[in-house]
Amino acid sequence: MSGIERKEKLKKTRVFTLGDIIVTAVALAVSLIALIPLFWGGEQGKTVVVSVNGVESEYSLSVNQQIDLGSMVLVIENGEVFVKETTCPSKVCYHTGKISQVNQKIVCLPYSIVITVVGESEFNADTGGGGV
Amino acid sequence: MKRRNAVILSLILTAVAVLSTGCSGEKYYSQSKTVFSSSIVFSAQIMHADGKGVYEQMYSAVQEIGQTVNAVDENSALYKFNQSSTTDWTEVNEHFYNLASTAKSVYEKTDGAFNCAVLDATKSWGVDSVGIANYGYGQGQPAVLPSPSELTALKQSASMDNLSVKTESGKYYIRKTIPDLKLDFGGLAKGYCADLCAEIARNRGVKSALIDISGNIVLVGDYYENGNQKKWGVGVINPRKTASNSRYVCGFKTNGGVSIVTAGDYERYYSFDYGDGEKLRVCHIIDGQTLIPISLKTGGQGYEENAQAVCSATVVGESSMLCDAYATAIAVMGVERGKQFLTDEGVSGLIFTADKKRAVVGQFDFVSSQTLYLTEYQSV
Repeated sequence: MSGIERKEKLKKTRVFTLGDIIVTAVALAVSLIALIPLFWGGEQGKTVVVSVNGVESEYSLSVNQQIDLGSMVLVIENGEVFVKETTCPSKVCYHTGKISQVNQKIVCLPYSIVITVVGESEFNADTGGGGV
Repeated sequence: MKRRNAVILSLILTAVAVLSTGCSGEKYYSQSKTVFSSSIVFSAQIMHADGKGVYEQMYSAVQEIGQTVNAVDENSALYKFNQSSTTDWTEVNEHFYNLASTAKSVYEKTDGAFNCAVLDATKSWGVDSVGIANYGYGQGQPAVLPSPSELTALKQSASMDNLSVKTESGKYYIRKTIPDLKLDFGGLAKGYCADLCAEIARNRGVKSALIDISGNIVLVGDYYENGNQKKWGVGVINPRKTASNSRYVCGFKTNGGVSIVTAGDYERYYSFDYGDGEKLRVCHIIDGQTLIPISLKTGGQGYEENAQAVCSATVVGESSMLCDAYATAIAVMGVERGKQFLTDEGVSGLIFTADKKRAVVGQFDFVSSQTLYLTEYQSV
């Protein structure tokens, strides 16, 4: 392969065209937007505190799970928590929708249930004086 | 082609951004359900290929125990035993026998501080599940508190000496020696359930699990985060938590293979006011000998606040059933006797009093950011 041929080939296989640059720029922008919660969204919760009649339990927002409280079924999915089912007639808690930011709350007055999103817990488990 | 590469690059970058908020490594299966007539939450995090299957097996075991010894379920063997007036031997299943025999031995070991025969007294005080549902959480109060003569009358039947247990030809039997004996295993049934769940986890080869039956915790194996072996973190709930102060009174790190159980006066209680505006805390833990809730003492217009009372007692040991019973026992015994008891039994514990003092028995790897009640209890 002569020097000229090599130059020609390089020209043909030029890495970036204008279109590539635009697509890459868009990709970077999308990535940065996706990263925003990581750096600026200190408000994204890590844990959900569920208080039933004043008795609290904690659940990680990073573990998809269903929590059956008897009168209410909660779902944690993709870092968000929401009420899937409730036997209460008003369904205010159900219509609150999905929450995931620190200090957001779902409240059910008839059953005295308060669901609060909090920041990261240092603890895997809480021990408290429940008993029956 | 080149454009496709750029699109792929964009997808990779986006995926990296999204995944960086998540985690990698083996995952815990996590599930929570209510048990024992919806009064208790059974949660577990299980690291196992069939985590769901392991949880379901544990859940079935807990339900089976609940069906046997739920004191408020009219179909349970315990309810029927309590209603029965016969003083003949009654055949029971293994769970009933294990709970009854342990309840009796801890009663003897604690000189009656831990007493599972106080069901009638808890009803008189309105601190059984029905009473707490009626009066708890600021909903009201009973007209009167039980008089000393009423408690004296209850004392005769409120003794585990009225219970006998035996095994014969592989079968289990119990009998009451007086018809009025009524049992409630609330002080150790959660621990018993947690021990069985841990046994199921070990038998199924679970590498790491957290079993939590309404704050009654068993840790199987160490904790794994993104594949890295770590200690577990356990937060002890602040017994006098308000909206503005810390959720925890302290927290500590621990390796697996232990159970942690806390008893306290702050979740199941109601306030009683003689009419002078002073609110007395009437809690669900009753002194097995005086039959008075630990948060009260005689005085004033009948009863007054017991400022030196234990408001939170945490026990760390191998058997969750014993940790459960011992936590209640030391809450009743008070700091002085409680410390001695834990030392004698060779288990660790954290005791906090209503006047915000603490006593530590054994070694704890405390988390420094979470510490209240720093005044050490001084022996008198």
